[in-house]
Amino acid sequence: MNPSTLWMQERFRDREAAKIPALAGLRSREEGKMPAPMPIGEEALEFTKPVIRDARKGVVSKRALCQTCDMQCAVVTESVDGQVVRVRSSDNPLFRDHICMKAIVSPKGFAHPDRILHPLKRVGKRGSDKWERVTWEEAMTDIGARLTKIIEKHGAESWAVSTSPWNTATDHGLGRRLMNHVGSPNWISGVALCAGNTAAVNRLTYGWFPLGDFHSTKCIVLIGHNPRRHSWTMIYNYIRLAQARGAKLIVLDPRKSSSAMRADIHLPLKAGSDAAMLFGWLKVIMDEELYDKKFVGEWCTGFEELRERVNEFPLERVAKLTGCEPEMIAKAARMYATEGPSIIPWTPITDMQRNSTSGIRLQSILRAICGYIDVRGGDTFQGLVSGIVADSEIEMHEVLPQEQKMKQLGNEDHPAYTYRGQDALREPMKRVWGHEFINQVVGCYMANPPAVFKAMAGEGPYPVKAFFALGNNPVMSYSNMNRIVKGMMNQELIVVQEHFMTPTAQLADYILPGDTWHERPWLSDLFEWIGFVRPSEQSMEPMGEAKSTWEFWKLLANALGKPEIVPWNDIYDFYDYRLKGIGKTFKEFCETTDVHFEPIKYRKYEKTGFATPSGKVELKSSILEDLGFDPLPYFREDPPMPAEYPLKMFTGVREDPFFQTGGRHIPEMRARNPEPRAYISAKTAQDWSVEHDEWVDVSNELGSIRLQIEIHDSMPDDLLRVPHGWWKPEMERGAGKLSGALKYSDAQLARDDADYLDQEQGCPHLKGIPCRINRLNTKSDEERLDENVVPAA
Amino acid sequence: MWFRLLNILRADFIGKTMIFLAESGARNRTLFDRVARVILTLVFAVPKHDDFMADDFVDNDSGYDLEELRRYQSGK
Repeated sequence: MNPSTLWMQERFRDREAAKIPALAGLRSREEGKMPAPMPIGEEALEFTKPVIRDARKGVVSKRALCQTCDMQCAVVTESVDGQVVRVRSSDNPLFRDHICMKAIVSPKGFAHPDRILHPLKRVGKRGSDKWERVTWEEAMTDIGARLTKIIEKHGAESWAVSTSPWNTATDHGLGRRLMNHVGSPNWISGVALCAGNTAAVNRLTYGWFPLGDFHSTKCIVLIGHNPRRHSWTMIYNYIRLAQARGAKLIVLDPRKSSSAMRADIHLPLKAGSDAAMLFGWLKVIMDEELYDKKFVGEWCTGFEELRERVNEFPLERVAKLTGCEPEMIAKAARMYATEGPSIIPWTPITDMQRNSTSGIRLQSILRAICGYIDVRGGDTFQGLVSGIVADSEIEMHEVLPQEQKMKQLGNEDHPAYTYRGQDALREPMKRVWGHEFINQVVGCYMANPPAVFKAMAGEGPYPVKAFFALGNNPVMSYSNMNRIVKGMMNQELIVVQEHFMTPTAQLADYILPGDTWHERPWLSDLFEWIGFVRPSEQSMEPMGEAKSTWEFWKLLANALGKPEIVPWNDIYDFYDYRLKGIGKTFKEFCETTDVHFEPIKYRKYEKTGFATPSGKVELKSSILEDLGFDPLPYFREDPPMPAEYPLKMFTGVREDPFFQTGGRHIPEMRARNPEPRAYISAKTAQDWSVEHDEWVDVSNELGSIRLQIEIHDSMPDDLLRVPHGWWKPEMERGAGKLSGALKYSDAQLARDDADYLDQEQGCPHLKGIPCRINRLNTKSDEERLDENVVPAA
Repeated sequence: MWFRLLNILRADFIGKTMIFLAESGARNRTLFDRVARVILTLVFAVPKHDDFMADDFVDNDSGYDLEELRRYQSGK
């Protein structure tokens, strides 16, 4: 029996032992330490009012939402003499303990001496790292004039924007609004391979991206995802609470992750085989008739066709594809189907695979046929919050002409989350949710990032010549970094809004100082995914000349001679407009509300139908069929492993102290993870003759990056874990160096050729890329020391 | 048989004692009530390694000293 089988059986036998933390959790709840339920049910209504304990003398406390990552944890900031000196967790029992180390160190992170506090204009060659300080007015006047000229010469579609909705929280769809009025469809974001694409693909099946009801569920399935105390903290707390009251946990992960260690069943599947595993579950559930026959009969289309496809995946085949024992696959499937209501929370892991669309669709199908859709304890449909103007309405997708929509890059080959792919949902969205362009997780009307970078590099159907990167670091955030850099070097105008001199900023024409979440007010509707709205108070004035992304778009609209597109005087005026429907100004909303929501109503589809073309759950997708794809999920096997790259790696991993490519300038965080470390098992280390702490090159057909080896108990054999987003702000800047990004960034190994892209979405396969380890025999110790400088703590 | 009976009696005794202590602790009027509260707290206290939300980095955080933060900001 192989070690993984032993491990699975051990975990399954240890169900009694798994109850120990549950008991601890219940005890803790008795002491009042536990947070209250999620703000979706009536039981949470008593926690909607602001709660804040008295501040110490000389300290000003504000209720804010941390925007360091996408979790948006409610926190309290404490300021002395106008500067935030402490961030602690919320006093509201609903949100208490949702805080991690990244929020705690944020006062120091934002006060870093290298933070960009004034607009900078490039004065040397692109990437020469030569800058001069200019005023906002000078910068925006020049940017407006140059962008106008580029649009006149190459068309509006030659302007592309890349952003992330947490760093640029106050964007609120204004960027899309301006682009739609100007005529450019080419907006991209990291959500193309993380949650945004999940939202778009979920909608193909049942017209919404659901949220798991952690509070009432009886079984949770984590697919590769490993929420921890300092990473996805809120989800971690919800899972632990659910386990504490007896919910089952099934973990699908090649690693013995901390979640896997606590699971009732751990299936250590091969990296990238999620879709095959879910076919196995469906096979068991269909064969043993464990599905909800009434729901399937009344509300699903394409069940028989799906059954035929599922029959192509007997458990023996699934076992071969996934590397897991058939008995354990069957046990997990039975647990999911019979211990419910169960949830399959969103996972970024299935988002980043060759079979991502099929994997996400299979998750949707499992939820649906087991009857776990829009029920208490299942995956719930929240809908938009009534009375509040949603970001989607601000975006005004209806003004972008259809002709321009059809120019969106990538929409021919990989249309799933483009205008073309989501077009058939306009009428159903309007019918069920009241608005035809609901842009959940901002991921439903995007251009395809690899297609945009090809166009930037001169390899697309038309040129992209102006590129704006707001609050994200595109050079390192998508696949095939070398092509991204090539595309950047081929631009006529690059504008970046940032806190620090990131590798992307180093290649810009203008760098504009962005504000931080301490320095801005905010109104969060959780990406129109989760039906509650929360205010975040401004805790301090922006440092230097930093401005919000909202202000940036307003200034750009003015600079383009279109001030009417952003008619509000300031962001408070804008928020008052958005809240008018509930009869409050933003100030009143802050004073009276910690969270605003309407208690969820279940089985809404019984009145409205589902927001799909058929009004039903489309197990066989009519939209995918009309787009020319297989309407049923499928599994595309890995291409043969090249002889020279016999090892598999996965990347995209967030480390606790950092979020994506950010945070490496903060001494306390770097002290925890000073170097990019590749995890491998002891056997793999032996096979490749490398030792713990040894520096190596990891390479594939695209490139090579340098990592330090860590022999880690959690890793299975023949798999390498590569951390995401590594660069070193202290290293040499400018083209050819990019502060270590060219040496360490995993994006250099992320492929974007057809074999390694999902077909429907075009997202890269990051879970199971062939690679090899090369030992460094020629490097002198002196050179190595020079490279691996760690900032003083 | 006798062993199972003893176990049942033991559980019964522990249960009744805990209920008695809980009632007394909830009253919180006399010295004995307060002792009962202490006993209950000790019994139900979560060992740190079992408290999934306990974390030294979070629990010991007291923020930054403003002067220190400003010195850091100015690169000193």
